[in-house]
Amino acid sequence: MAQGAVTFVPVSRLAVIALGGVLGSLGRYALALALPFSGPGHWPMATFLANVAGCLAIGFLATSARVASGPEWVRPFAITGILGGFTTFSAFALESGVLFDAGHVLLGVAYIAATMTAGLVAVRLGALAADHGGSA
Amino acid sequence: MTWLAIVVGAAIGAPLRYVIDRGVTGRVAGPSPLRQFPWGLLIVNVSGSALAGVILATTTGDLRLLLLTGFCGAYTTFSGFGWEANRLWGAARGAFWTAVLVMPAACVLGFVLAWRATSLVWS
Repeated sequence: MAQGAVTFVPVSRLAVIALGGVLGSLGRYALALALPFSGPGHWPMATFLANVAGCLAIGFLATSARVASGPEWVRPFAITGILGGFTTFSAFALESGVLFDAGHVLLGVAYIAATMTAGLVAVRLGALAADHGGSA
Repeated sequence: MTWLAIVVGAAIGAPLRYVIDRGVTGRVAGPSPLRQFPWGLLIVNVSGSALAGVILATTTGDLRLLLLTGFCGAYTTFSGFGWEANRLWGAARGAFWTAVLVMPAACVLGFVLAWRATSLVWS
């Protein structure tokens, strides 16, 4: 695709992303209801688990040959929609900010470092699983 | 009502993320490490985190759920960032480390500044 070219985004693709985003966000909300963030001094478990699980799934799905060879709507629906909606950076930033603001600097740094490390390892593991065992 | 608020917010946030990320990436993407950096997702995640600060300081109840949990939650993404970072690990090691250090720092800073500034004006 030529660089700088204005590319047309079909409305149907945006609708598929919106639908996936709604499903992923409802899942994230359900997880937050099950494991509510208790505020300063507490580990934001729901966002942590959603982000790491979403990273594992995106590593697998974005690498999976079955997704690549599937219908055109699968990728925007599952990856951009569901996983994009299920995982979140704003809640991650919000909770870290609240921890820092209340003076729990060490916990805030640990939360950021743990989310980044676990998330990146999870993407890699998901990708490796798709490469080696995806067709099994 | 609560669930509907999240449905409405997410239905706007997720496609908006795609449009902005695609628009930015289509204009800057190139072979150099600087152009490999996920600028689209950085803009999305920092703006969404800063907006979350404003929303936290100014809203309550279902409106907060719609804008914060629904819109900001779906607009920003961690998995997309994780995937981009994984790609950079193989393609541009310098851009990988920049992304891993800059993305969370910029988002948390954006959130705290917006939250604090709005709280001051609002009170």
